[in-house]
Amino acid sequence: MSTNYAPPVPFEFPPIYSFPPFFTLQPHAPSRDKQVTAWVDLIRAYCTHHRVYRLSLNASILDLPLFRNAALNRSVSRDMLHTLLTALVKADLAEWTSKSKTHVFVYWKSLSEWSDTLVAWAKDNGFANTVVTGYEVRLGDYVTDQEFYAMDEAVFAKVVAHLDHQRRIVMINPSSNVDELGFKIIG
Amino acid sequence: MHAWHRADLTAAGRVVLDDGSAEAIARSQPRVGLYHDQIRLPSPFDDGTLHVSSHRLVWVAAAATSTAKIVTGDASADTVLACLAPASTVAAVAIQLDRINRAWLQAGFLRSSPKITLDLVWSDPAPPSSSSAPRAATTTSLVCARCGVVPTPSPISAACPQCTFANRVSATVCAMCAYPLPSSSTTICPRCTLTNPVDATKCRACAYVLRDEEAVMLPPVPKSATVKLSFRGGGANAAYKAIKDALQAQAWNRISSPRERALSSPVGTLRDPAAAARLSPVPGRLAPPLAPSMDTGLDMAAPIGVGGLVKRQEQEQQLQQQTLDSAFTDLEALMTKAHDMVTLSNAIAAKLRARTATGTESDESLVAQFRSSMMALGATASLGAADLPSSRAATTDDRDRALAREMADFLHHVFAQGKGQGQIIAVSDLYCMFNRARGVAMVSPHDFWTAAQVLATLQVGFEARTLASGTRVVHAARFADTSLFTDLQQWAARNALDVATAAARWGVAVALAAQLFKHAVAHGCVVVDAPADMYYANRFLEV
Repeated sequence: MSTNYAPPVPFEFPPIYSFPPFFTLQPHAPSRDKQVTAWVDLIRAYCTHHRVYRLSLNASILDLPLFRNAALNRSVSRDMLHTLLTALVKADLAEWTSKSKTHVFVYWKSLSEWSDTLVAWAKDNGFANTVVTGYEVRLGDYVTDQEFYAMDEAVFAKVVAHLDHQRRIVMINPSSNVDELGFKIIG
Repeated sequence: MHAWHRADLTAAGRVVLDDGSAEAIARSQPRVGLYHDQIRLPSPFDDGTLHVSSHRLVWVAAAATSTAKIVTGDASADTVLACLAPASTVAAVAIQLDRINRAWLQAGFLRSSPKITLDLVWSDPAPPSSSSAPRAATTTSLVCARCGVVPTPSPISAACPQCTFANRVSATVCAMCAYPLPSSSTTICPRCTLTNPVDATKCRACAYVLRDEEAVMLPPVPKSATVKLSFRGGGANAAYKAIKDALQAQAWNRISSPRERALSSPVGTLRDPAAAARLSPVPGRLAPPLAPSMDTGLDMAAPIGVGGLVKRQEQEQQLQQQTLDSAFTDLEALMTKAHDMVTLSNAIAAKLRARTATGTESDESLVAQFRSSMMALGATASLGAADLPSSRAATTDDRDRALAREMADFLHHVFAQGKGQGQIIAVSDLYCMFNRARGVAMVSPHDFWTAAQVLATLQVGFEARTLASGTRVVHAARFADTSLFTDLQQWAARNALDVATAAARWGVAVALAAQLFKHAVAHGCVVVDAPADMYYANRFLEV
């Protein structure tokens, strides 16, 4: 996890989370498909609730409450996690960061949804057709109550690139540093 | 009276033999149909396996079906059928060999298959038709109501050819009409009524031809029936030979071993029955004296007392030595012949392989015939791997089926013993138990497994399976997939399962229970929790 967002209410796990076989990848194919689908839903819900933008295949991730049920003393294995992340990518909810497939960006909202959200915010708050910086939009004082507050930098860069591609913004200052990006949202 | 009577089969469909009289099956031949007189009996009597035993001919139906409504249109055949199959399934029928008068073989011609015809003898004393006294009141009162003459009852009387009065057998002239009666040693010439000797071909007075020189004078034959066996799968010659041998051996009358016959010979010559009883090997059983053709070369001097005992010991040893020697010479001769045969079959197989590419169609059929007969002999080693058919089902022969039936009977016995043994067993365990029970004539593992795989087709309630891990098991219907999964699902719905409790509940080894669980998981019946090795009902598929 790359942000330290503390959600106001704790996440409510679905009942399947307390089923011990849920943490073992089933050999029977139809059962396995259903199991993976349930996991994908759970990961998405959790990431939405906790605003998780990245997941990586390292040792510490297996300690996440998402992947470890302390009450049952069961946790997902690394191989199973790889399977789950692959399924997540396949469901268009994530994207591998690099070819080596060890990190994913989690799109609990898709890029187009984020674009719509940003544009809607700009219009509603009078920032349309004005030049804004990346820092302002991501970490500024006006966005603290927004969903995209403290979004992961790389994801934010992708959103901006997507908006640019859709021609809904005009790039004023393209910069590699996300905070120094300057653009104007066309309203 | 009917020729066939019902025979018993074991639960697995094998013939129950009479152990008390040492009945043994000499020959079995499948695809045999039954005829009664000239009528071909309809299905299911037209296809079955014929077993020739030392005391009976047993015919086992290939398909046991209900025969409640089978009719052939012929009255006697219908009564036979009605007697054999009152309304339930027909499985096996048998004829006692001592009721067979004659048997002869007719070879097949064009489309008719070879047949063996059996002449049977009724056990009735006489046909119920001709009554000797015209107005005898009842069968018990022997006085004729009209003329007061007492006629002799039929078994011990001979009817006069002229007036049909029932005379005593010993009479030479009829008591009524004084006609000279034919007796067993004389015949009466029909032209001049002179009594000739019975074997005369021409009358001594008028040279009338009394009988053909080739014809055989038979005593009057009581009412009989004819049964025919039609061999649609071949094997008629071998079966005929087996029947002939069994009829000649007459195992229901004679003593069996030559040893007993030899040892009973000094007993038979004694006049003192007490000493005979002392010396006889089987108490209370005096054998008939030796037939003159049997030469045992034994010295029979002074068989009483210690000297007699010593002599008897020596005689026994001599006999054993002779038997062993003859057995070993036979064995060596067999081995030489087998060696020759193997060389020959290898040479032929090599030639066949060389010429199958260029052979004509008649050659091909010959080649195919040769291959099938080699396989039937079991000489598969001389055939290359390419010659053997790819599907094992094509070579499932009756030997496999018979072995499978034997295995099924044995399984009944094993599983019935309980002792916590659930109705599933590894094939290796079963193989050891089976061969141990057999003692001699043990079965090879390959043959055993082949026969086990045939079990399912016989529908005796067992089947053999290879589990996913490679373990081969034989189990009763209770462990078939459907019933096993149902049982597991119901049980898992109530609580989480682990291997040890399952093993205890089913009465199987823990390792086997673990494999059954793995099998169930692979089919999605239950789901596994790997770290604790527990099994739960499959909630994923419920949603």
